Amino acid sequence: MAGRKLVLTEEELIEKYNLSEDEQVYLLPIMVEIENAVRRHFIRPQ
Amino acid sequence: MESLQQERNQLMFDLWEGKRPKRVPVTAGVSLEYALQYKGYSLLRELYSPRHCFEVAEEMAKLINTDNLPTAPETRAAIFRYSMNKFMTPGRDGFFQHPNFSPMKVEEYPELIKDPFAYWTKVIRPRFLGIIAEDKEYGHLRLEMAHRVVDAKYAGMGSPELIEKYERINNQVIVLLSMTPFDYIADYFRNFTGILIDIRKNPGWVLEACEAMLGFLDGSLKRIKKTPEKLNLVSLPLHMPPFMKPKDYEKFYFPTFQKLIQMIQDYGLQPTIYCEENWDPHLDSLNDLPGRVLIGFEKSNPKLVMEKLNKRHIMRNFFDAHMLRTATPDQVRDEVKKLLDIVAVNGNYIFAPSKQPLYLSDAKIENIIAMVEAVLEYGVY
Repeated sequence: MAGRKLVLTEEELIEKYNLSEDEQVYLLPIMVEIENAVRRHFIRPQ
Repeated sequence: MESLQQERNQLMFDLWEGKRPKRVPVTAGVSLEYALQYKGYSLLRELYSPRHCFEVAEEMAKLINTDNLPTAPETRAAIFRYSMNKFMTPGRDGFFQHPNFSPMKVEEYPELIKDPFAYWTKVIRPRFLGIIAEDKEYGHLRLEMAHRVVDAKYAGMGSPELIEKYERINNQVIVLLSMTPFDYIADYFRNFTGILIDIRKNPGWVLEACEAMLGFLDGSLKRIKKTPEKLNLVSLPLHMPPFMKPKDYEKFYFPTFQKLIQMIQDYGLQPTIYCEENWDPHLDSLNDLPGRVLIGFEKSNPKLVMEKLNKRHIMRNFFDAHMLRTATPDQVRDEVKKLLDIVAVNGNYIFAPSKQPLYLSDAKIENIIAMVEAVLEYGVY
């Protein structure tokens, strides 16, 4: 299986998870938040 | 003067101490999905909104006067979706199901037997968690972040807040939801049909794998941090025995099941099991479980259970959940009375329907309310 980009954008999440319009209301923001948490993990000082 | 919550807690303490409580504790609930549908919400939208989930769980707590909290607002639906969990997949309506998926190949039994923990983490998890399969380096980190993000959303609006506000039982905590060794292999590795073929074609492997899984489960029990002064429950839904012949159950299922119950008690934890479907052919074996076990029954004959089972155990469920969908409130009340006459005789019974309503169509709310009221009225010792 192909690797995954480090952080996916909103549009990429919609496409990857095939999110319906309904799912984009509350599920998408949670997924964006998770991606942002991953991003913060990598940019925080070690 | 005792608060309502203290009274409710005492019912449970009494049961676990082998004393007859003041009345039959009444536990029941509806799924979060039911509660969302009741309020007219969508499982594709509001199931992912902690604010709405809390709102509907609170609505159920207001309506259903059980000793337990009837609906927990917390859901891992977003984590299932994000992690691409093949064991929890949403249907078109957004309701999550556990499909009959088999991530383990039969020839991998020796690998499982050799090191169940390594096999579970390195082989099985990537097969059912898409996020780990596609991102071998950071998949576990992503999963951890998903849990943190979702858990944080329920801070201040989760079950603990509702339990305190509505004075529900707060002296018990489920410290582990797990499975017996045989069920674990059936549910997570080989699936329902695979394991039934394996006990015919590779009986030795199945027996060894069950013993190995006992060690794996011991590791989980060892890591539990007990909550002092509470009942620390280990919950085991039992799946496969109703589909096994008694001699297969005795050979493949019961020995490690019995050892697991003993291990749970040796760690000072309280085992609670739920016998799915009809266990009438296996009832005698439950007397060979050590100590006190809370045993729930879905479709077993309550008269037979009360005749056969040792009184040291605590019994739960039995009430035919089908009635909640089809009957009238008066019929429900009559059935509650009939059931209590059979099962509430020794002081070791907790009322609960045989199954939790999952969909709105599974139960009329007025029937649930009538059921709870009837137990509170007729369940006084």
